[in-house]
Amino acid sequence: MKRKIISVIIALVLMMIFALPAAAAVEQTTSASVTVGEVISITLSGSIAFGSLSPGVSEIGATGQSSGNPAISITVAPETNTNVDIGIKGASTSGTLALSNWLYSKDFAKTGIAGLTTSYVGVYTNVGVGDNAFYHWITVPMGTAPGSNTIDVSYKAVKTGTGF
Amino acid sequence: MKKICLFVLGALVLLALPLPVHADEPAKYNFASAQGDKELKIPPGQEGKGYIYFYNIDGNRITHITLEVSQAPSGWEVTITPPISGTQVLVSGLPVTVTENLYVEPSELLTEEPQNIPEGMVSIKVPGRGYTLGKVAEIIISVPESAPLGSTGAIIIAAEAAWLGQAGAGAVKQARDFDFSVAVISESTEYTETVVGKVDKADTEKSGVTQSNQPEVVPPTPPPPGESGSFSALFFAIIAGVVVIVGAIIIFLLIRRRR
Repeated sequence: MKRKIISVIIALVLMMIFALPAAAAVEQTTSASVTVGEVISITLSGSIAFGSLSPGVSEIGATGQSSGNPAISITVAPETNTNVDIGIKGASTSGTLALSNWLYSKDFAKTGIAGLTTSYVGVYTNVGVGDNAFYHWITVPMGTAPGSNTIDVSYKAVKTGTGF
Repeated sequence: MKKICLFVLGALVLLALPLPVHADEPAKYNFASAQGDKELKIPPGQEGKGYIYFYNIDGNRITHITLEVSQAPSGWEVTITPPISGTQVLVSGLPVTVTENLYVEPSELLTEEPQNIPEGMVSIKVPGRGYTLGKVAEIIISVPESAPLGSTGAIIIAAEAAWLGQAGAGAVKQARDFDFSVAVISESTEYTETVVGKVDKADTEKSGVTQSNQPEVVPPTPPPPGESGSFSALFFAIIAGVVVIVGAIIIFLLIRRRR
């Protein structure tokens, strides 16, 4: 009988010893975190072509460009998980035509039409999934030397508000 | 027999129709990226890696990507793998050398994670759309021994995507920056936390910050009574000790009585 009592007491003592830390942990909270990577997918379509031009022409639209049909369309894909600002810059690669003669605007009506610069200029802000238009024109001043003129046009997307 | 021949001919004509359409599909220049962890923790004198994944599911031209370190703390070494190198490309039969870190060919969007991944490629989960095969650039960051614990280093990797064979006077490109923030941490993996004292409210408001990028040396002071985080643990330890002692006494008394 006594052996049984001793066994029960030992068991109870052991249970209390092990139960105390568990009881102390009942109301603890654990913080959890997960890092979601930044995904950006942007597709350019279209082209910036002007064909052959004579000197002394102003704001000639890119080939195939019309209202609602921009020279360059920029599509932000649905998996993009951050809103972006889109900027544009240019770099002359051949010819004598100044960069400022290569013009662009968000719309066919030439709202805010401006010449390209060597630094990025923001054009669209806080853009989500969808299409964004870039219309392009060119001015060839009188006296421009004959020859081929080409440029690189770079479009940069940055997380909204972070700057170019 | 004649009818069968006409049927086969008709089927062949129908099959051939989509081919020219595909060939004449307008160019689509896709630049898609997924950045791994932006915040890295590296002990002084050691190196860590950041990852940028590139894929091309919405384009129909090969995307040529160049990467460069546009910002890094002074004395930190940042290298990019694969490094920049020349790639021979045949554009409409003409050989062209492209200087780039990597290129990404157009690939299919898959509904399930691919099991067979070609060498040099990785499987990328495209959120909400599925999986695809792409490439990864490793950004290897070496933190100098002299970097103070608790400081952070900002690293920016500038990426430029270009495409060959574009028509017209203006060749389009895309640019994107990838930011990494590196926290310089202690090499020890063991978590330690010591309360060293209270900070005056006025001082906190004056500085406007609760954390500093530079490690601060604070003289150790004993924690005020009743405010230690270990109070409850101590309480339970005392109870456990009392229970053990009482249990031991009871057992001792019972054994003695039995004898």
